[in-house]
Amino acid sequence: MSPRNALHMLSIRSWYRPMSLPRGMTAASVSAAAVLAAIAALAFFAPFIAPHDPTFVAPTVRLQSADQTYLLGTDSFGRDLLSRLIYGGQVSLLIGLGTAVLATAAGMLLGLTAGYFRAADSLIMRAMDAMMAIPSILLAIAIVSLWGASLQSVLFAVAISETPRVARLARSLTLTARSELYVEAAQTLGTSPFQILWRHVIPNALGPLIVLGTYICASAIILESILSFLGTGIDPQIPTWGNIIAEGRMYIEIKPSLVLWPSLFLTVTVWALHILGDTTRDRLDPKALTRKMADQ
Amino acid sequence: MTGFVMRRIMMVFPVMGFVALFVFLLLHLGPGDPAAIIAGDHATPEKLAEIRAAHNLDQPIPWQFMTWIAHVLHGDLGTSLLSGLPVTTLIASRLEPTLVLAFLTLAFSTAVALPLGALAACKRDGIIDKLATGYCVLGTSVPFFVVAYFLVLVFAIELRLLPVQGYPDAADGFGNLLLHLVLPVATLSVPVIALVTRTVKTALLDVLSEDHVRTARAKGISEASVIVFHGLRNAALPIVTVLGNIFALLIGGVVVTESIFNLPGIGRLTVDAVLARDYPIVQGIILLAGAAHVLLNLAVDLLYLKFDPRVRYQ
Repeated sequence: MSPRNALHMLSIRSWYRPMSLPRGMTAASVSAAAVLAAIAALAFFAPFIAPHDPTFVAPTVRLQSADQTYLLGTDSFGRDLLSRLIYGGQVSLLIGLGTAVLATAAGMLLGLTAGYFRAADSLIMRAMDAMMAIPSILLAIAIVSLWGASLQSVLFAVAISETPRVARLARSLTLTARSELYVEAAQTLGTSPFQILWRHVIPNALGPLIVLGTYICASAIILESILSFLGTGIDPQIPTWGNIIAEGRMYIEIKPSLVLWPSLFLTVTVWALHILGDTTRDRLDPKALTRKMADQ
Repeated sequence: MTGFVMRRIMMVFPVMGFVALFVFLLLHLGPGDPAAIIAGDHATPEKLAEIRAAHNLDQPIPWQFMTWIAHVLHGDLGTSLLSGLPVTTLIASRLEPTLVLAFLTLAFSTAVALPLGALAACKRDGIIDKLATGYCVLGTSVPFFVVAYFLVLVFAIELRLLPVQGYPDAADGFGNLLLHLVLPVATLSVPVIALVTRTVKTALLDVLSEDHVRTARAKGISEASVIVFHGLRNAALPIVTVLGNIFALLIGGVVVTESIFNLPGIGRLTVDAVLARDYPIVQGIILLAGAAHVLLNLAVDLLYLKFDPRVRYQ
């Protein structure tokens, strides 16, 4: 599979058309970036923005509906839903970004090695095939349950299950770069493999890897929320969107907003990441570009 | 060609070997003593020693791995720590709801996604295409449990059209069982439809820009025939290749969906086993899921070989 195809298979063709925005920007990508910036700002400045302490239990105001004090109402422990949602974003973004960084670093290391040093190729790639064969949710659940549920183990578990995807892409990009004339020239001049990887291969592979990183960020956020939701993830004391939904589902008949609001936050964040990834991919993907131009 | 097939089949063994190694290491490389993990929180030293002897944990790790593999190859995945029943028996007894769910989801999703993807590809940037692509992004962005609760809220709680949860015996009326499966199948189908629609559309678009399609149109064949016989037929291969992705998606889906709708399937068994720290069951399920995935990918590759002669001559 050529890296171009690999890139293209990663996700969906964008559903937007360029409007009167600067080149490469679309209404969808701008709104996606705005949404992400807003959620990141909320999470980062949570202590200043959140109107209440997200863990403060007040039994007298259980399951209040939205009013002036509690803008989105309270949960079954009398905790402010809005504050919990704002703090929940911290965990999601931390897991998403952390996983993207960890998985990209580990996957690049494995993929570059497999692609450049052919002796290591089949060993590394068969191991990656095996890891990909294990459904990521099962792998993540098992790791977290065996190694104890903490932020670190969830991060580690999610990053491990996402690493093979990066390794595969990095390998195929390395293989393409390796056959380029300038790499051959560098080899002839006696440049060391590490120099070649650093100077020629990595810069060429970076674009597609960043796109994949965006998608990994999105699927890590979903995976974390599933772990929290199933009760196998981060401590229920810590507000995460998955934890809030898991607690709220007991009261879904009385107060559906306890489930709907965190669901909305979660979905919108993941949607924004997908749109952002698609936009970047379309800008990097010459095939889609050619197709677009042929359509004009 | 036989060489290619043989090489492809031989590749299954190292991959399965690695799967088994990972599953084994999961318990043994984690922080903490496996015997303590198995024994739970309040174990006496005698009890720990007993467990170590019973599970061969006092042997060297490579030896433990070999004995474990030998047992697995003989169809013995160990016994459940809680119920004491063989893991294979437990898994087999929970297979039916999961398979029914998966089959219905696949059938329903294909029935929706195939025409949807085809329509989107025919009228590019038309209203159907825009809606379909918008749906594809959203469908892959919404977690399963969000879809599930949304459906429960609307159809089970507000409208009271469908049951909230449960898996009644098929003997008590097949219609009742189907009624209970509507919401779980709909939940699972949301992302599967998104995935298949996107694949059908991309594959069809690629095929429709080929020369033979232009020739077919030039011959005056109706557009419907062009799409179905020249387009979809050739687009079938890329669609087959996402079967592996669908499998992974479904596994993740049944784990969540069965817990929400209280269906006694493999997904529910997994979550219950994880929460009860019943590790032989967790190991067994992961091993079998990995094996199924590897074999499915093998089947997909062999199908590719059968249907695309170009691959054979490479």
